Amino acid sequence: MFLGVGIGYALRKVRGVKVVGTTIQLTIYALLCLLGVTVGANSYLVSHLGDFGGQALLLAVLGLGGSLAATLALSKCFGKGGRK
Amino acid sequence: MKGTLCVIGSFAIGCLAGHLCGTDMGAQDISLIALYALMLQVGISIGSNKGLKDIVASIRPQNLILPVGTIVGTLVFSAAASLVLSRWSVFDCLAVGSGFAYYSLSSILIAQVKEPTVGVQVATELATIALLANIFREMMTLIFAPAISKHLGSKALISAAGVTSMDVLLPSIVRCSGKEMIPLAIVHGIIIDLSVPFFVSLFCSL
Repeated sequence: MFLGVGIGYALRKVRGVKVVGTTIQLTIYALLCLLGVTVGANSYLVSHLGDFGGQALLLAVLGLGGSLAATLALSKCFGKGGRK
Repeated sequence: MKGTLCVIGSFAIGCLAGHLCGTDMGAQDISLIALYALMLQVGISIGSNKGLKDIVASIRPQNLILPVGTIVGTLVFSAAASLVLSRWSVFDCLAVGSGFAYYSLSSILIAQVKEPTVGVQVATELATIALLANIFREMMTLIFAPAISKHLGSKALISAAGVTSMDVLLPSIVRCSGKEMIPLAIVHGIIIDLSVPFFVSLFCSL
């Protein structure tokens, strides 16, 4: 990433460098597709996906909710600290 | 909406391809290369930003509070999951939660550290749940990024992203909250990244 920062800084006046925003999105979609391949190829995981998926979803929602709740609590304690 | 459909569609197509082929076709190796490519592109995006110097100068010590909030909030709520999931102890739930969306590392660590004490089967099950839970966290944050940023603020979006605030979610953070959030998102991601091996190993050994 730091190499990229150097390249980006050197090319900052080149108009074509803005296309990187589009290629970033395409790379993310490719990564998600590859992640799907890993999950889909695991037969044990696929056969128990409903059971494990439900438990994982609960933990994901709580983890996400916890971080959001903490950010809101910080915004109460530190004024503008938790929100832009 | 189009972006959300692309996210879900990409993952679904991958799942179908992996299931039909019965092999991951070296997807994890390719993912690693793609992740490096993503980091390079994110770096180019940051470096080519004409306001880069102003962004670096805008970093404040109080912004370091945000990663602590992310860790405490996630762990407290993850511990609460053990009240519902009777099969897993509070430390198992904490180990899964302390992945902070770092699904690859957290699931591998859980499988390795838990195996000597609970056996291969249980360790693999918990590792699978960790993989899915942290994938879900990343995908939910990707999908709801605009809503989180709009209703709860830019810092809430960075916190929700967990470790991915410095890579996968960084473009969404920039799009929803502006390039001025880049320094905070990267500092947040680095601190959370460093905490994952520590917390996962700690909770797996308790």
